[in-house]
Amino acid sequence: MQFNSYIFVLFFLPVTICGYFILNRVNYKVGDVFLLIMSAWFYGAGGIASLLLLGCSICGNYAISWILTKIETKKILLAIGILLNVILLFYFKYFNFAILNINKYANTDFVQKEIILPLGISFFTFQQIAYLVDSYRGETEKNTFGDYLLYVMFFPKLLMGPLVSQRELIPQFRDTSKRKMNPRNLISGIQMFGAGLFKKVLLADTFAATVSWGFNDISACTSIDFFLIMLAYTFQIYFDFSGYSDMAIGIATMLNIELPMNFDSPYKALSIRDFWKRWHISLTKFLTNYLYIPLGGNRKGIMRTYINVMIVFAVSGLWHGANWTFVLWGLLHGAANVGERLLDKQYSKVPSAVRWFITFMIVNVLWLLFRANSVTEWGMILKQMFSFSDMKISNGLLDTFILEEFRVIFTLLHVTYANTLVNAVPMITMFVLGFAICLLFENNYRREKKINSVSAVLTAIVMTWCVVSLGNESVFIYNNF
Amino acid sequence: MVQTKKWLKMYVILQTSFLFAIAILVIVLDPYLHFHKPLDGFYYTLDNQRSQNDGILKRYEYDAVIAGSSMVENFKTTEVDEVFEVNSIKVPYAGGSYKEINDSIELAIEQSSDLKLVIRCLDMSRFYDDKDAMRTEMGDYPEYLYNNNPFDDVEYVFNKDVILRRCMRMLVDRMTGREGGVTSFDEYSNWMEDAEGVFGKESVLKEHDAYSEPLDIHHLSDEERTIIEENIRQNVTDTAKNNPDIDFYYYISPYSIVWWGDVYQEGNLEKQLEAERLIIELMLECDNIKVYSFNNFIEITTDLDNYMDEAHYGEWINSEILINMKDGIGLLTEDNYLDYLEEEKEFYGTYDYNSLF
Repeated sequence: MQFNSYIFVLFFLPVTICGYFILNRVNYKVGDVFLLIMSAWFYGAGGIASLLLLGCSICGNYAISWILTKIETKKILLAIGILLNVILLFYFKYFNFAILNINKYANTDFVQKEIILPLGISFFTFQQIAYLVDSYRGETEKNTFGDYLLYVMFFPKLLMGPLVSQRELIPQFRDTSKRKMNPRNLISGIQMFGAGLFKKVLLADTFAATVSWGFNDISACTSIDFFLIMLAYTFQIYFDFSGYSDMAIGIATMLNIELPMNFDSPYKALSIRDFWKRWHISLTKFLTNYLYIPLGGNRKGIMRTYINVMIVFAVSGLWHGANWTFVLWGLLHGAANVGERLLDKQYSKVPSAVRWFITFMIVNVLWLLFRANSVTEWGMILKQMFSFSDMKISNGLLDTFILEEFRVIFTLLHVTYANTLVNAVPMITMFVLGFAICLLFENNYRREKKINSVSAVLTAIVMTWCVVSLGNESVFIYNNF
Repeated sequence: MVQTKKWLKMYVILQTSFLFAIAILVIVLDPYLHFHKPLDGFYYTLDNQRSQNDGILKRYEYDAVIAGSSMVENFKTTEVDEVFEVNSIKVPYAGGSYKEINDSIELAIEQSSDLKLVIRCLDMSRFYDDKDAMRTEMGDYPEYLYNNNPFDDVEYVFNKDVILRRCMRMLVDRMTGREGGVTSFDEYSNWMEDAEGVFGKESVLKEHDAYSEPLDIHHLSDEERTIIEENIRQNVTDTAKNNPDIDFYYYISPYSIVWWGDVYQEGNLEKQLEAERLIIELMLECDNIKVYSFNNFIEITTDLDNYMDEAHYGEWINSEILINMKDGIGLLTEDNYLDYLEEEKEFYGTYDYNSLF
């Protein structure tokens, strides 16, 4: 199930919130079971097979973590546990990618399998690896199987995070004061959810249309088109992912559960290291605690620090997807991180506006790699972009920004589309809005959720606007036959 | 009252009110005719086949239906009504598969107890459709409009495009004095205006190189035979057999000579004729299917001024087809269908396609 769907917003969410607090009045265990059932339904809506796989993964991991709390010689078992998780992830996410590359470089003819990727597998795998390590460290002895189920399956964070440690989450489920509906949290959660849904449905999906248009026919794009597409993707991925995180955090807040901040205005960053303290913070924390520090972190000399950094970014890149584009994206971010460490003294003297621009440009260019279908495609796009050969903006690109809302405004103002400048107004508006939200305002997590009539009216308007934006007219593209 | 409780109360009331108001707007105006017949005083624009055909089939009173792909889009129901003395509607599905089109006919039969006539074009280009094929690569079907589940109608009721593009338009039209009504079926999906100036040799032969002789001659394989038979039985003949009181006027799409040239060049002429034979024979099993073909009306198929591309003919051909069908011209029977196929083979197998350029 997706947060941005009719069934979730109009049915699942209200039923879960009401049901949770009503059933908690009966019994806290009943409240737990209800939350687990709803989480199972949420995940199972994507396919029973995936739910069964999740179930097996949970049982297997819990068994290993339980044994880890009981035995003395733990390292081997921990290694086995982590390995099994990695093998599962490898099979579903990377098997075909591996076959493709083996065939390419070893001239073999292995057949790829039809494998359906279970939703959220990257996330629930990492969640459970973290739990195994915590068990190894003796931190999970008091946790029951019920606690573990809630920890893994808690639906707001199940599909796309934020990744949260068991020591942050499980005590909250045990805290009985949180089992009573808290109006402040409900209000804060509703506002957070509404803001996240707005980012996803109205901003991210609009920029996504532009990016799709561009990648649909790269040969037709001009240099300026590519520049705008690159910028559009930068906004798309931020509003999509941070919007999702906002919704996750908002839902959890309504249930009195605090999830950690995942995005802290990343496009305000003045350096790549700063960027990674603001982007997908929970992943950075996970990789720091469970990979970087066990590798030695920065405690084994400069060279080893740089190597550790590169390893972490390579793993991060690969975790994002089964394509060399993701690996290279990770490595280049790693290289930028190392570069900044080497040039720290000089870089800190550069004016902040320039540092912002350099960082923003690096992030933009690397997002393009993240989005591209291949490294070669990325290279082609960059070449075309920086050739400055064609400085016209394609009408097709401008059209992708003309939302129904803009059409209505134009109609009311009796404005026609004959003028390219008029056509560009929606695009300019969206980009200005994108920059303003990312750079000028406080982010949703930090922003104070006001409790007054204005915010009630605004929230109702925004939520309504988002709900009707979930659906659009079915359009059939027919080319003669 | 505590401020938080006041906020929550205000929010819940406002939220439900906004959604309720929008729902009422869409349900009352109902631009897709999903809930009820068109209201007096509002103008309903029909221009979205997959979203509106279902409503048309369920809300209108009719005893005849014109079904098919873009091949039938230019039919005028006023002409059909005059020629056949019926009260017809038109529900085309551009690019539609045999299943999609037959499903619309089945729905018409279910909805109209008076149904006595179905006019349909059978696209030659879709002979090999899997019996259950739907054109999912062309767009997303609004399934929520087709089923009886009222809950998934939220996707229609809370739909920005429906609200802004259609409902708002209907309200503005009413306020500015536009007379109520519905797009006429003559105009619905008619693409003659878009094709103005496009008919003729230049358009039809665009991107066509000179024709060459086929390298291999292909025949219908057993697998293809099975596919065609399953497709035709499920999506053509079963419906006719189950409804003996309805007359089905089915005609094979009269594509242009350029299409035949492509078929010939690819070595598929024999295969095409074998497929046609199979389909005709299956349809001739049904007394109430009148099978028509104008493929041998070479004054139509060889005159490229009749076409805007290799397949799509102008509305005057649709008119001619109607008159012909009424008069039995072009009718295929047990007695003549083999001669018809022989004539096709003789003409399209020996035609000098390069003389078209």
